[in-house]
Amino acid sequence: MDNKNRPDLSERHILLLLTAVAAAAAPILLQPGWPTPGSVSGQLCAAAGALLLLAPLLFVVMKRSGLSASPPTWFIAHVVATMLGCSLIFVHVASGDWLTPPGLVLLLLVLLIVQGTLLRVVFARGFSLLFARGSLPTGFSAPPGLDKVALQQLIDSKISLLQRLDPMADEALFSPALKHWLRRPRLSLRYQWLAEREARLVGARASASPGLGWSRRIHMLLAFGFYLGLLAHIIVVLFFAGYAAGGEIIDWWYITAWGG
Amino acid sequence: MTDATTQLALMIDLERCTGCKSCEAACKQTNALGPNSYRNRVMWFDEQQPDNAEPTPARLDFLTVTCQQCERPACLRACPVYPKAISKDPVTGVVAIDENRCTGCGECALSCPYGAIGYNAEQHHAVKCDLCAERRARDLGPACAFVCPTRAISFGNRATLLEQAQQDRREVLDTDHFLQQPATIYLRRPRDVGQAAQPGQHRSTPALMADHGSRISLKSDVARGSYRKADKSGLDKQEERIVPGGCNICFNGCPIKYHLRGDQVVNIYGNDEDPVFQGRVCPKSQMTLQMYNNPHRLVTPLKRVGKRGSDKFQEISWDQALSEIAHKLDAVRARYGSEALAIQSGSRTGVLNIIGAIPMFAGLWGTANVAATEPYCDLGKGVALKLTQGSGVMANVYTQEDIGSAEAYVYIGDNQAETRPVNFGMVNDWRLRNGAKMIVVDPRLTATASKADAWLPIRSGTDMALGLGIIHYLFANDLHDQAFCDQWIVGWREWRDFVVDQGYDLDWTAAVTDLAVDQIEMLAQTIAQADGCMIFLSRGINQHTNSAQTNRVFMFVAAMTGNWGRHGGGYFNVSSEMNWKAPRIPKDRRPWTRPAIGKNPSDWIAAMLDGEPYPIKALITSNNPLAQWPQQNRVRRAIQALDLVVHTELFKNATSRYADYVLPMASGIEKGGTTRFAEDRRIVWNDKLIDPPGDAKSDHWFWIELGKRFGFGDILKEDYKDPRRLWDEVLVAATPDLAAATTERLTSLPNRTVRLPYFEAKDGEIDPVYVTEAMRRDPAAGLDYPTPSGKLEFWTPAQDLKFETMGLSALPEFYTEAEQLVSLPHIKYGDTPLASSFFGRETLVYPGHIVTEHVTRDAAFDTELVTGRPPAPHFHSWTHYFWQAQEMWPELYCQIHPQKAAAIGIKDGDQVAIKTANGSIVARAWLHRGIRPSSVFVPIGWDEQQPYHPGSSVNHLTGVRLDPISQQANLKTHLCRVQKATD
Repeated sequence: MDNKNRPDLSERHILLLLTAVAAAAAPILLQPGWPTPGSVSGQLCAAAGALLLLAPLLFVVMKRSGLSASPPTWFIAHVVATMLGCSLIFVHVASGDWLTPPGLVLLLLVLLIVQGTLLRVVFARGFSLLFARGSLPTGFSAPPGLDKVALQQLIDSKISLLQRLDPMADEALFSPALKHWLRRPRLSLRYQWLAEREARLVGARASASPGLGWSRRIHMLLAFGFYLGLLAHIIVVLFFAGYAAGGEIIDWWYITAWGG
Repeated sequence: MTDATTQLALMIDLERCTGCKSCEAACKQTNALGPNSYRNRVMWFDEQQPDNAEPTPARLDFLTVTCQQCERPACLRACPVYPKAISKDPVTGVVAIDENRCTGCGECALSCPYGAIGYNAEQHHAVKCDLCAERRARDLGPACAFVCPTRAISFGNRATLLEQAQQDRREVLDTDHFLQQPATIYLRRPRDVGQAAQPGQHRSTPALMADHGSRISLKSDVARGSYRKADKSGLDKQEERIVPGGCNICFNGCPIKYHLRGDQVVNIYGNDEDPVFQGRVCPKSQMTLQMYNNPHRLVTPLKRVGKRGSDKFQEISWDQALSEIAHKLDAVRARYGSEALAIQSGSRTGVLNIIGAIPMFAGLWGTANVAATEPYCDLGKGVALKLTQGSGVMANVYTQEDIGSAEAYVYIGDNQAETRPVNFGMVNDWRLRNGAKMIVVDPRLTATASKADAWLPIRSGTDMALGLGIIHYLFANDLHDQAFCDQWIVGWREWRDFVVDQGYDLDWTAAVTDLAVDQIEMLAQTIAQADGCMIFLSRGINQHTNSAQTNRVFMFVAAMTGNWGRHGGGYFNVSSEMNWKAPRIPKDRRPWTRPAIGKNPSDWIAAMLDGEPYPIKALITSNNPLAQWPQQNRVRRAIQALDLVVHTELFKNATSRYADYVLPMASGIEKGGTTRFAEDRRIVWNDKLIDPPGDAKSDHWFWIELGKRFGFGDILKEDYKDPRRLWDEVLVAATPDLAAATTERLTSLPNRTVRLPYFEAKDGEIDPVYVTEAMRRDPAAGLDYPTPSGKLEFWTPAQDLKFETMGLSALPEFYTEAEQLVSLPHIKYGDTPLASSFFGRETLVYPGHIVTEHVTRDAAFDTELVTGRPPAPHFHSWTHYFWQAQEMWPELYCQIHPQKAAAIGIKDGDQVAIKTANGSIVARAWLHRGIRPSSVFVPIGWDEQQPYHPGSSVNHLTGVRLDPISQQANLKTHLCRVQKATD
């Protein structure tokens, strides 16, 4: 299938973006005199940065909902928005105290960017090497210890569960989409659990190094942690300003007043 | 569930697959895949090769990994995109990926238990086989099945394919271990039917192939044109032209079709209009795409500015280069005589030059020191054939009626599966269809041997003894064809009596060859009892000091069993030799010249170093002598001693470094001309279709321009820069066998191919040498062989005189190489060169006689070194500039038996040092049970100047010992020492 219109962020562009973020971060973090996190400009940066950092969430929605004709475009958007958002967050925290719980959230964000960059720029080659398992066409011989009976039982369970989750779907081609997770989360979770068990049984990911095989899951886990932290930070700052200020002056009084 | 009547699938026959990787080449050029992106890949297959079962014979099995088009595709379910970026066609069952929706997360690649999802790491998306959707839309099948040289890959309706398998009584390999219902069908090797499948617990893929590190140097920027989607999409906007022609790389001359868009060649496939090959083609032909669009090509004449070997050059114009070369040649001629110029050409140079422009220039200039590559390839065979049959033309051709009708195929020193994949594919197919027997005699279990009923691991260089033992056995057991001997063989009684007198019986043969008596007996019986036995010999026989005699011995084996001049039986040794005639040069324009110094360029070395018997001071060469000629250390000293070295090539190679001038040349469809003369006597015409890169010129352009500077323009005419005129007015005009093979005729044919001799167009192609068969049908026809007696001549007084002049006998007295682990008769050379009695032109060679004296040798050299061609994707230096050939086979390797490796502490993939009396090199160890434990194998083709995986030429290890009869060099058998390389 022709992919000439497929957008892609080349390794060079990703590295350029990362370099730009780092170049922007350096003076922000190293030079004094930046506005405090609670100042108007600091809060504006935080708000804009947080909005940009929602792009990855949007990417997930667009990719899994069928609302986008070009998921790769949203992939690019999530990378670019994250980098920009991160830069704004750096401005927000420039004169703040890093060794605090919000600092951990920022660390997660940095980790996400570094891991995502490594995954795309360095480890993506590892996917190429998975072809034919790189050296041995092991899948063509019966793998030692493979329990075909258990595998069949799992497939039967999936078929049975699918009757309730999506009766029109074909187990052979099905995995839960966003609509299933929203409409029937428990059934979707159970189905996903069965699918994971099947994948383990047939040795999915086993041919890859753990770093490659689980990298996307780790990325998603880090992102989940980041969003939770971000949400917690916003709630604490808005509704528990005194606790957040730790006895210092609450210079984001205008927001707390709004929040209160 | 896909409807069985509409489901499409590939069927891959493991018995037919030889691992040539032509399918990989087709896939990448068709689907715009660069390095490390795969839709298919040929791998070693462990299922049937458990290394722990010691009694199990060594095997070399391959399996093409590609998408299984599963009914329950794990890749599709794993795709997190909605709607999925991977879809399954409900009608055909084809699982396809929409790259425009793929975000490159890699989940599909991780989930496929067959490892059949590829990934484009540069553009960050998955790639997978969709059975060539774009080709199917144009009613063409998948490219892999179209080109497969062995017809191992079939494409069609799955139910029909399964029916076919059932009809052929073939067992389908069970690959549904994961309950995904794969559609791709694999046919097990018949000999494995009934065996329990063995879990693949032991790695048999050599470490050097499994090592991804060796492919790191293949960056995406090497993928240009057809191998990059952006380029391909741009080219696709231009209208496609398809022009037939032939592959100009090797001596197979495969008919191909060039697909051109604008001024670029975008695809190269086999020519399906050729009735013989029917579109089959090997990977090399396809990868010439990477020659036509290659960043490493020479594009400007270069002049050396540093010392030889320093690789320092400056760019100059053609006019300057030609003028300076002419000036220096004049100086050499004035001081040393015109014969001080030596010229070497080779397969790269092309027939138009080897037979046309170069002999014309050399004849006008006045030097007999002109050579092509025959002295290193098959000169021994050529001399032997002319002695025996009176002509170098071999009868048999690759048709069902001829080679296809044989009851037995015997390969001796011929790895046809990897050197001529298409030809072997046809033979293997006939073997399977007809139930014919196949036996391979080779120190290694090659890809050819892995398909055979029996593999006889002979001691390298002792094939002559094997032939003599067979002759002895056949006479002793009255298994010869008495009628044929009486009617067609002159001297057969002399041979019979000699063989008996010498005691060349099975016990003697077994002791010399290191084969078992029953193996030799089985081989002899197979040859004698088959109604038609094809005996294939090749470089394993030719590249020895007993080359001509061993060829004669097996010609005798073929003849005494009636396998000569008939369909379905014969002696074969690639390639056929045309009865070429020298281009016409008026007598008064031919200066008197001294005799040629040998027939083999290795004879020139002493003339270069010591001026003996007279000096050679200038060399104009193409190809790569500084990898190809044996005893490289001495060769390099000799080249350093020259006054002028001109190198005409496509790429800078090891020879370029030592040249004074490096001239950029054109190739194939950049210059036009014919392919090499193939083993089944076919030749293919290429028109000039595209411009060469930069200032590169055709070889004949160079010789004509250089000739002008010496006043040869009236003979070596400007008009001959047009390849059609050079062919028609020089080569066709001189050689009667080409009389009707004009470019007008060639270009009128859909495959641009004729089989030679081709005397008159109205008669069509003829079968000139099925003499025996024709006479059996019609005794009144009065046909005979073109020898003085009209019969096959093995011993005549005249022949004996010729042999005696060179110190030998026309009777087959056994000898082999001096370097053997056991003491065997070998050649001792005379001190004074004399005019050879075997060549038409006066040629100075060293005679020799057979001695049995014990050779004192260094005890450290305890291993037989065997050399030869690497696997199918490579051919000499050419392919080392094609990135895909490097991806398929990257590094120089040394095959070594695990027992021997264990004894000297070598593990698979280790760097090993191989040392002989002539030099040493380093290569990576490939542990392989399919080699004699006392031997190692190192392939040819690598040199230290290559861009991707440079390595030392194996000819640093070889020495110079020539066959006194044919001047063929021993490249095959030396003694060496192998040890783990130290840093």
